[in-house]
Amino acid sequence: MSEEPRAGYVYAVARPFDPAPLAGLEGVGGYPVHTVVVADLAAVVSTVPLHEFDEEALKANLEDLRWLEGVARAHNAVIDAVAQHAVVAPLRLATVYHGDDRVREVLREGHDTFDAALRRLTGRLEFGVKVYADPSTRGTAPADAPAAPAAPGESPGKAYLRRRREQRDRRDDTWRTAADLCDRVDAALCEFADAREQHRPQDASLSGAAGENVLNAAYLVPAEHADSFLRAAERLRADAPEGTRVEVSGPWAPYSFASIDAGEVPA
Amino acid sequence: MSPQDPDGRGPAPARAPVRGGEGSGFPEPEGGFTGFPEGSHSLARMLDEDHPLANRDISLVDLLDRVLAKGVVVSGDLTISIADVDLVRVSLRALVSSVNEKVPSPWEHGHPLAGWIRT
Repeated sequence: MSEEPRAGYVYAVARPFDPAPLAGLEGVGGYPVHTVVVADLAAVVSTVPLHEFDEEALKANLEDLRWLEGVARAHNAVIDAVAQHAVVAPLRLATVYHGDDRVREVLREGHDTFDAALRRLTGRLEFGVKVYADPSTRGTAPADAPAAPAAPGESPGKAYLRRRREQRDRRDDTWRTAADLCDRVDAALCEFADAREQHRPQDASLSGAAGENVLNAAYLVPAEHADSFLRAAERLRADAPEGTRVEVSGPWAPYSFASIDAGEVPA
Repeated sequence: MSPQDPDGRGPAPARAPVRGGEGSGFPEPEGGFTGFPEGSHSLARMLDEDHPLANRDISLVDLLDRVLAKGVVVSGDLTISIADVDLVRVSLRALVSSVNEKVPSPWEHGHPLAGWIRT
């Protein structure tokens, strides 16, 4: 019976490290994790059955939320584990090769790119910051707002238009407040960051999060500034004006800054 | 099974734990390092346990923002182009609408595809 074809699922490229802590770690699909080292680079790899990660399987699996979540969390767990031991450049989900020899080739061919990424990421952490605007939390919900006393002689039509205008003003005001807050958040946090990346705002109708996500940013922060960054973020969160909300996540492995074109210096 | 542990394989990773090894330039967290590979709260250890930002679970939405759209893109031998997220997003759209109809809100931290589907 011929052996099942195998493939190499690559999580990340790191500086070489003692792989002992990888023993017992379960990667994607529950498969063990090892390293493939070439010079000053180490790829973090799981050997997986080819049929679980070939093009056909991936096309189907990426539409399976349970599969996607399982793989995304395993991918992240491995990268986090490595990040405790070495500077790490995470690879995009589901980067798969025909085995360790091919991974060695990729490390050799891409050496300068990986090396530059690792240099940029050394000693740095990623934090995520989101700002939400939620006009409905600002004051009384429009539908429930008590009708303001009609001005003497105000017709029902005029009163209606006035109430609509007041609702609109309140909404406009919330968006203005949120836009100002985004500017303040970004300016304050860039003080402590080397770089900032924007993520796509998360869709409120799907996330179930209250309000509209108006800023979804990631900051690359030198480890020695992480405390200051978080203190500043916490102040911004605590002082967020009515109708807005600030959420902070992290530290993350530096996903958002691993690609070559990432890492613009904040203005 | 919970959304945090879809495969019943053990605790889901909490905050992305990044902690420095020797010479990596990261500060040593207080309280030492209690377990690898569990590591489920190791990064949060950088933060005080009482810190309002510490010890919260990773939102899958935030995770997908990173693993699908960010990270180093090198062309694999076998990977379909995840770099071309639009492709993935289009095919996921049908799934999301079906999920929304049948399972109102199975996701503790919001729908994992939030932000990926634009209408």
